[in-house]
Amino acid sequence: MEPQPISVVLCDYECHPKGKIDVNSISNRLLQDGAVQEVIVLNEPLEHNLERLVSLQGKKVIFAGGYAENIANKLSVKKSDFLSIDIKGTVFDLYETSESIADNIFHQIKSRVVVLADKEAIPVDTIKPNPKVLVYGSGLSGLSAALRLAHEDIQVDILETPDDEISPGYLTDLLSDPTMLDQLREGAGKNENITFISSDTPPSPLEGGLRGMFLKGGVPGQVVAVDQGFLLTTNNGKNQALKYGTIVFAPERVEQPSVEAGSLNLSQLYSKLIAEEVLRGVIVFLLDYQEEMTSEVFKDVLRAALHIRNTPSAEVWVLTKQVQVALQGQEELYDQCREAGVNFVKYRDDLEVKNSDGGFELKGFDTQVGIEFTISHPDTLIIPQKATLSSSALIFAQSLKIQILNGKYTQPDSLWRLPNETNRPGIFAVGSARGNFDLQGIHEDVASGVLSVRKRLNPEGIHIEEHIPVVEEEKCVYCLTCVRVCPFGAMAKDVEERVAKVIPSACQACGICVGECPAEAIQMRNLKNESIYSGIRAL
Amino acid sequence: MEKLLLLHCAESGKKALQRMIQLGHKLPGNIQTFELPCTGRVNDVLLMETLQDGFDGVLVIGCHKDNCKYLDGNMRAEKRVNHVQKILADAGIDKKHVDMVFVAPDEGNRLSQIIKDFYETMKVD
Repeated sequence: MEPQPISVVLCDYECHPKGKIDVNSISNRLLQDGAVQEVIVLNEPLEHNLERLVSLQGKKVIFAGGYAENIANKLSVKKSDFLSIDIKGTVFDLYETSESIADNIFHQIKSRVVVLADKEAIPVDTIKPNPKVLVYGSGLSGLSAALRLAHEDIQVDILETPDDEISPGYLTDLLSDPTMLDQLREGAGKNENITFISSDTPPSPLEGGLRGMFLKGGVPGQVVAVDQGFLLTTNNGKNQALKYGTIVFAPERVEQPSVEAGSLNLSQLYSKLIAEEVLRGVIVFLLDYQEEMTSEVFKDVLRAALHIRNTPSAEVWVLTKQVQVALQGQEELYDQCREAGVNFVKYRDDLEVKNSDGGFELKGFDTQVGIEFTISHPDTLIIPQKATLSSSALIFAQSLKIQILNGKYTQPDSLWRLPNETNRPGIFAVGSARGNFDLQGIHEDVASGVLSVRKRLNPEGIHIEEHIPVVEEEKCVYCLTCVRVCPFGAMAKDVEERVAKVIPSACQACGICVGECPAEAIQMRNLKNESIYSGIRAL
Repeated sequence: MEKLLLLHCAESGKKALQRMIQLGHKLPGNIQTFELPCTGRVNDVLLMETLQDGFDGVLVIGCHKDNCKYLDGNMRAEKRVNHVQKILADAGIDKKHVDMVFVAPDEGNRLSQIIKDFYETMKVD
């Protein structure tokens, strides 16, 4: 096929504050090479010259200056047929002297010409994910999310794991209705759009990882990415392979067992408060003791402390290394606690905790007041326990390459993720493992998660990235390096043909597989290796 | 003075460059830029080809650790840049010709200083 001729549209060249640029010299140099067929020079906005630019339809174009995307749409120039350069931002404003300006414009255009010459139209740029949704987790978050989706007539499977537990965060608000979880379960059981599935044995990390890579078919309990979404292989007697387009990851957190016998963790404290047990005497919260402290846990402690202080005969002490009041409304809560007479003590690292048959003695140094203190035999000692995701939730996340923060939060702390998004498109994190929410917060989080799922089920389909890599199957040596390094699990092994294949619905077009492939068998679409080298050479 | 190349990612790298421009910083005319979706695309071959193509130095600009949109692309790029530096050292070439830095989208001033320092290091030859 004949290489398509490239046209260049030079615009805004008079915007330079240091005076006119010699546009003719740029134009001549570009035409000399032969790779550029024509150069259109405009000293007006592109929008005012639509008639002149209509001749560009069907050609490949480089827009140097002006709002190219806008114009390209109006002229029906396909995305694969143009590139644009922000002349003002990347040339005029960036370089010091006007002698180099014309040179830089020329080099930038020449570089883009090379890359554009290799660009081809993308055969399919949308894909429709499978309409079924898999919800992981049957605690409060998982069940609420499943019910909301089912009410929208979406087919949902809930994957149950044996160790779902309610994390301490929102139990305080469940004080009014501890049977809520049972009601949700009953509702989900009756709903015809919801099916409960269980995976008896979660895959071991080794099976899901190295060995699982070379096994034919799926490892039971493991989820792999496929064309229209994800594939779950179950092992509960039936050995099914179930397909889903979207996954909602909604596990609950699990509290670790206590290290100090005789102390309460937050869940145990809340059980007592729900049962309306009255706590009297000296009640001590010992924080920052088990590396469990976050703003959210501190908020729960403040609420509990305030609640306990309602009993006049209760003396409440909160020992902490630092006071964290980052959440909304938390500073006010802290002030309320102080006004109610809760005592806050900042202790040093040399705190000693002695435990003799449930009778505690705490000795430390109060850094605020500057004196040593001893608390002997408090009536109740509360040590918030380390809450993490259950091991099966962590393995599930690992097999899907979902990023987990600190072993307990299902969403990484990253500026690229909007609420509920994880690092993988099509997998959304919802519920109390995203952060400690109260009941209202859970409702809101479930609602926003459901919106994200509905957006993914858009009838138009989801867009495939332009630079999705292409595997040259003759060169592929089936080392599966790309499968191992892909951060999104978007490379899969084809056991019959013994090559690696790209899964378009999961691929983010980052190019890491291209960089790692030892056989150089993978190229990015519309940004081939040769294009990059030539593009750099042309600079 | 030969040409220098800034090989930056389309996320933090590009935004940091734009911020730098907004703040009014300028570059000498022999520094060029080339954009990649992620610095994770960078590998030994690409860096060596760039040095062969007449560039005196290559500076790879990526996102901070844990801030890569594609998770670990920036860490892979760092490993490969270090590897290429080793290869250059084995061949008797100063490893200053290839380097990697991590920036955040708002670090326009810092990036300008980094590029100036890189430019100065290249000048001393």
